Amino acid sequence: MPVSRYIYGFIEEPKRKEFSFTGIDGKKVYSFNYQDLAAVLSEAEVIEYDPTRENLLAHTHVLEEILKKHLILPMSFGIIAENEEKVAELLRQNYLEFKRELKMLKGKIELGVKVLWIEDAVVKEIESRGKDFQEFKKKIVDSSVKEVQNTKLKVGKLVESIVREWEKKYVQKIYSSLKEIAADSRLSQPIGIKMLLNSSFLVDKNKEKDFDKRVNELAQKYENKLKFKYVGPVPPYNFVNIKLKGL
Amino acid sequence: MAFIIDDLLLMPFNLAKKILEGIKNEVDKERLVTKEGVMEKLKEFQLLLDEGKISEKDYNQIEKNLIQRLKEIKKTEE
Repeated sequence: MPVSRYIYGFIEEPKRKEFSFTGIDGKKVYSFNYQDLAAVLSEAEVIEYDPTRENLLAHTHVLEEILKKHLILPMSFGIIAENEEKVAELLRQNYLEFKRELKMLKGKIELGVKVLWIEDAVVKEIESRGKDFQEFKKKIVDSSVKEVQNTKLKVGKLVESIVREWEKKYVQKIYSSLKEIAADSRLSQPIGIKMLLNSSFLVDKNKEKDFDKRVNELAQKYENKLKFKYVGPVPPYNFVNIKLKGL
Repeated sequence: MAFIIDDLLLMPFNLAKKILEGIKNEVDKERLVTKEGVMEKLKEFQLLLDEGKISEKDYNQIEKNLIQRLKEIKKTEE
């Protein structure tokens, strides 16, 4: 029987208990407590798990299930302790930190907002500035390889300048507008070239509806240029600030 | 209609083809020299998969190659 333990995060829980869902490798998930705090664990078969989509989804799934009933301090993917004694040690050494973080996050949720630009909208913008897209298309079909490259480069530059313009004009406004309703906010690296904003917000539970309303208003306002992706509540990955002692 | 933009958007996918072909120079040029760089690329491809822009089969192969790259980087750091 494997001794290593995969750590998903930490919750307030005074007893050892098993959860109804499974984690990485289909292993049972359970809470391992020290006083009134517990680590959420499952048996780890290996010393390191690859960040495959399957494993990442298993990790996220556990956190989201826990979140239904507990506030959780989520760990990043891949944290494994040698055995339960090491986990107990972790809980002891970081007890005060964990209590402090949980207190800070109580009654709050994390919501994520991503904003991406819409391809067709950029095409329309290019056409409205008098650069006929049909002309570009023709060039691609009729021309030599070098001319095709040049045309692609030209189009690429046009797309980039429009996207940068929209970023300047709209993204700060959107972010500021949402910050107004949030207790805290974070910016993350946008993923891929279509993303203009990758943001997270820590919002009081009783302000969730106001926040929803604001996101919908903004999405409608910019609906012919920008696409909004809105998720949550999610585990507060972006607002947990712990330097684990003893790992 | 927006096939030219599609082409630009498929740039990460074209990179994927190169990874599949194992061209080392391209890999290094595209910031796949750090763990963070590889994880970023992985996230990009996951997004493309979620949006239906690449197939599950292609994604799985790309993921395999990127994780292999990740292991290589970790080895050089030890």
